[in-house]
Amino acid sequence: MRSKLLSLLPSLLVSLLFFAQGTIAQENTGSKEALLSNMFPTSCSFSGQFSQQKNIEGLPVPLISNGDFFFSCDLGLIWSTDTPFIEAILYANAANSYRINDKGDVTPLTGIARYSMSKIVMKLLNGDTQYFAEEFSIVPSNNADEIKLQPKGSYMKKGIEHILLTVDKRDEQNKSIDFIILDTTGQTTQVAINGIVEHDIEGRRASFEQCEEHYPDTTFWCKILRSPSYLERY
Amino acid sequence: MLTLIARVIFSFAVLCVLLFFTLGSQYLRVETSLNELNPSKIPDQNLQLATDKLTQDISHRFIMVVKGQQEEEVLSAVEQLQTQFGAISGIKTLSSNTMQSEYLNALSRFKFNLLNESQQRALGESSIDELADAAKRELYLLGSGVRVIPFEQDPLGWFSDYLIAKQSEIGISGEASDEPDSTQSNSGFYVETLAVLISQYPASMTAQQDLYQAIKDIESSLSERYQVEIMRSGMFFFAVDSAESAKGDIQRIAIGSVAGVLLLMVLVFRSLLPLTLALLSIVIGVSFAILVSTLVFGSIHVLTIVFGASLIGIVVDYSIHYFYHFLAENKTPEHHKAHTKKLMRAMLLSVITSLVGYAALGLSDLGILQKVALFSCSGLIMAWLGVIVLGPIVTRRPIVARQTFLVACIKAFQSVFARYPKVLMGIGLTLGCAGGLFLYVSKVNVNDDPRLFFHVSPSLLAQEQAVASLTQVYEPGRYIVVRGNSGEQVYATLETLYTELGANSEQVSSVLDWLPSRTTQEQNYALQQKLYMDGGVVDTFFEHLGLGDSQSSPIKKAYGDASGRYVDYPALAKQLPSLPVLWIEQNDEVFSFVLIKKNSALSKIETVSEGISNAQYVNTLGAATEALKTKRVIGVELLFVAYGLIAVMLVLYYRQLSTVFLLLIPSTASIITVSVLAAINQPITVFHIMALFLVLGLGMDYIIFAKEMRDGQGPDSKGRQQITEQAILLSALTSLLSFGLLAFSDMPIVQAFGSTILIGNSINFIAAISLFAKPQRLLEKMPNE
Repeated sequence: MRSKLLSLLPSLLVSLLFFAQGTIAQENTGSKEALLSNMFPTSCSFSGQFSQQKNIEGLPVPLISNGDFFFSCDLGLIWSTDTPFIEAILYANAANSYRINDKGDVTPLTGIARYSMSKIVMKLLNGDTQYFAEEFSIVPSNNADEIKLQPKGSYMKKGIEHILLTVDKRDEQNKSIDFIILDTTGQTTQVAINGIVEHDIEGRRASFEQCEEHYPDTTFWCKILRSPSYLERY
Repeated sequence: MLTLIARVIFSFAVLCVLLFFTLGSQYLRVETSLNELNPSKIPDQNLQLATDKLTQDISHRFIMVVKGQQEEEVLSAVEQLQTQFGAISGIKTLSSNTMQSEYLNALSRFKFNLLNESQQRALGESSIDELADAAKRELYLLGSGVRVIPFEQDPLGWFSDYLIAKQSEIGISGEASDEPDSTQSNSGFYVETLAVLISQYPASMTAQQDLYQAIKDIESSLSERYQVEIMRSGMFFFAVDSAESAKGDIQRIAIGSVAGVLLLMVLVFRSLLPLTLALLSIVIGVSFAILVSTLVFGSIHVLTIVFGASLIGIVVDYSIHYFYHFLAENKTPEHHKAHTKKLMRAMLLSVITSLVGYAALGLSDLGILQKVALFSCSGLIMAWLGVIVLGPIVTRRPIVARQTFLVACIKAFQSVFARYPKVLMGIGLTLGCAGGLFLYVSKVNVNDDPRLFFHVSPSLLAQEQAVASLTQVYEPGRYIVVRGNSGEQVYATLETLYTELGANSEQVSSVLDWLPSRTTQEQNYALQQKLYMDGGVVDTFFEHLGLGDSQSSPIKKAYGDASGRYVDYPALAKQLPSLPVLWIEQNDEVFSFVLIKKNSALSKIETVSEGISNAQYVNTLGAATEALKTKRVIGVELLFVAYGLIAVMLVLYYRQLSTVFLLLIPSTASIITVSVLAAINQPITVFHIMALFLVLGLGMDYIIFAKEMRDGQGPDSKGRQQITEQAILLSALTSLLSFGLLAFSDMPIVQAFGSTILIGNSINFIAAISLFAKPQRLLEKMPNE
């Protein structure tokens, strides 16, 4: 159950990453929905790098990984890990999520990872502020650049303790965002996002071309995103 | 001598009844189960016992569903529901969270025996390095790597994977109720489900009603306190609702019958003595019937009491006949002996015809009708004995009947019906023929569906349907029984069944979904050696993470310690009271039930299961409907046999072949009754057919008395005839009162009985009082006493 919830985090993170440039911690200045709408991306297509560190209770070493991502409202999300191993996770649409290893083998996400809550992935990435307003309480912090998101619903509460979001706005051209996710098992996941590039494109075709440009050596990822049935021919 | 025997038997029976009601009243139990209407019997006793256990288990569970637009409101209401239900002794709530944690706790000790298909495949196909790498990648995956037990106990996450997938598969993940998307999708509502187990099923109707009321009170208070709708579903509610409806019928019929009898007796006899005898015979008859039913069946079904209440109108007949015979008696000593003999003969014949009618119900395989038959026959015999034994004591003092009013009534009746007896006969026979023709050519609406026999509250039915649309429910009364001499054999059959079903196997639920067989557990344990052996997957996994052997030692030791440790389904079920009774061991045989989910491919499942030995597809509703249809058809045939037997009895008794024509009266009455009911579109059931036995029995009662008196000779024959007619009128009034009250019951089966007997017996009465009346001119010529 908890794992199901936690697996929505990639999409949750990405959707939260591209929040707007304004101050966010003043719920009293307007409705939550209006506030959240400022956090969501102004562009419908963007990419960047990530660095992730997981600390698991009972495991004495941190799990550190790095990579990059690409998101398009029209196609979906690619979460590509470079180290310590090469792997890409594709969230095509509500029903189709895949894992691709360094040899190019594609497998549908099953087991724990299958519970990607893919139904709400697109909702989140497309900036469904209503969803966030309903599912999370926003707790302001002493630090103006930091907020804590606490799940309101019992379902979310079963998996996530809270999400701590920190925005570094010192360099407008190179925004960076840190997320710390604490789950109910005590596992902490810290994700740092930087090098965000927003793509001023529109439409499915342009998004596909942008994706191919971003991943020239693995264009089939983009093809799978564009049409999951491509896998049958792949 | 016979009188002495009758007195001894009667005294002994009364003593037994007194002892039972004073010392053994704790054994008095009212049964409210609805299964008594199922005539389909399983020839195999073991299978029958296993099926009974499953049925009992299902009837001891119910579901509460809380629905609302605000999740917090729904959750708070569920929490309160759990708390308040917890305060009621004898019931246990089982939330999906409880079931999850119970399932986890029960299985975690045996985690090395558990693998799903993809895990088994991976262990067979992948190398140690590949498996270790996959586990490592899983750990790094964002949102993954979560363990349902501490990391040290499941570092590779295989057990966590197994359990989470399994919980989702068997529907205890809580996903459907918790996940907003799934519950809000179209309707915008949150839904939470709470399973409730009745661990101590209330024995008495009062206790059942108290529990039902307590549930309704909690439901009502929480619906007011929170913005939620609370619904429930379960056999318990239907049983209590039906029992409550039956209780209303019992009160109405009993009060109506007793009040009617009291009124008639007081009006007619104006004396407490006849009234006392009538009441005594009723009390003794009904009490004895309760004692016999309890001794034979261990309880009294609530419907038996409903039918039993109508006995009041029948048993009082014996008192009435007795008094009128007493009144008709020529007090001269030379006539006394002959008259007493005649009275005994008429009363004996009367009770025999009634007994034949009621006993015919016992020929049916329907449990409820057998119980009614036993209750009624024992009650009739004892009431009759009561009249025979106590009658002479009561009639020691003079009894005077007020006859003016009754005579006027009878004269009025006869002036209409008996003026032209041949015309009446002609009309009757014509109507009978027309009715017979109508029944033959028209498509009579029949019903053999047992679900339509009971009165079901519309709100309860609506809730049931609403709950079914919101939760995972199984096909009612349809399942597959898998049997074998050992657990392994049953598991092997289940595996074959699942394989044959293919994708449709997801539409069924069995022990296979909860726990693998012992053989599979042994195989799984052996397969996992690849994970936990020295240099195995777990060692490589920790090595890939840069950790030494010490990290993998505890889990490797735990694997070694778990060698030879297995769990079977009965042991699992003991730890999980929430589990349905899917596994029953009976006399060295194992029975396992495979439940079928709603909206499944039933015909495919039936076809597949029929092709597998040791598997049997059961459709209880279909079987019950088919069996009830057979009973209805056989009932008609038996009715003909009963007519034949009574015809023989009449010929032997009167030594006149023409007496067979007396049967034209109840047969015509029966045909007209069924035609009328069919014409008003009342579906004809097995209960209508069974009621026709009583139309025959009670009808013959009137006819015999009327004939006996008409055929009587002597100077007082006119007076005797008048008195007999009054007795028949009173007797018919009391019977029609009782059965008339049954006809207005909310219960379709009770209504069927009541309406059939009300119409049929009315016709019998009209015929008896009209056709056997001596022509007025003859009566006038006869000298009065």
